[in-house]
Amino acid sequence: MSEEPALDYLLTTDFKWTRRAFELLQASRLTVDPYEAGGAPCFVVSGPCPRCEHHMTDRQVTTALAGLAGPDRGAEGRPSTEVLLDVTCGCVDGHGNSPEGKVGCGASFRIAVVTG
Amino acid sequence: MSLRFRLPDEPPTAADLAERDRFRLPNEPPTAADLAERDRFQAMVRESLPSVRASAEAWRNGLAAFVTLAGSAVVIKGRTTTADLSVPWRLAVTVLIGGGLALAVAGLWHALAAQSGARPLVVTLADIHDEYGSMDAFELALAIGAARRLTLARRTVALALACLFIGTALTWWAPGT
Repeated sequence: MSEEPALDYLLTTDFKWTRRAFELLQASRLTVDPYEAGGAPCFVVSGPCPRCEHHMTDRQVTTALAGLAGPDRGAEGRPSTEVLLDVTCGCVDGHGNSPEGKVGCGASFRIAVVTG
Repeated sequence: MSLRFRLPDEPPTAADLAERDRFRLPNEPPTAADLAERDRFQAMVRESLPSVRASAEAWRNGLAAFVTLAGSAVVIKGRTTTADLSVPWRLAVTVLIGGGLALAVAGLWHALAAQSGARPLVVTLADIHDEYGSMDAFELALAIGAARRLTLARRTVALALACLFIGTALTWWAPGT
């Protein structure tokens, strides 16, 4: 039995990858782990890419420190009830036509995490 | 296509249902502009720690010069300025000026800690991933800690300046012996 050849690299944000990611999340094949140590919220997305199905891990921090007033001043940051993560495949498996220095298959998808 | 089913071994638990409800299907996929914004935001996250440390360094430099100047003035002029004051007033001026200097030094200490960290950390990448999730989150947590220290330094210095100002004003207006 031969392995299927890997998909070619393609920059795509087609909604079908977002829908497929949702299905993978529902099936717990794709996971989102939240962290908040030291006041730094971070989400780690891990699992198969919805397009190429190679394993990928994406780490995103959802706040930054801007301005010099410090983290406790001007805190308009009402806790949101949902976090949107835009994830781009970062698998290390090779894909044809992949640009120099680029990882992944080129697919990007969106995950909506309900936090409230 | 006909589907086949089997009877599950157990029903879903409350945790299973909560996990299922953690996600919702987004209304739309990300656009190229959304991805570019995401990358710019991540770049800003990475700038958090360097920018706080640069700000702390500027405060450290200014505070060090101020503490040197104020300390020198107190040492050189302090005795002669308060020589004509009665004991209670002299005591009040000493507490205010001395306390103000001490607070300024404390503010300088906090600014130094904000710039270069208060105590050494020995961590592994696995430790960082287990607790913070990513290197960026770890550095952001350090930046948040440093920013809080810097805020404390600024408030301490504001209090120091108030004490020094009141103490100085007292030397002008307090009645002599």
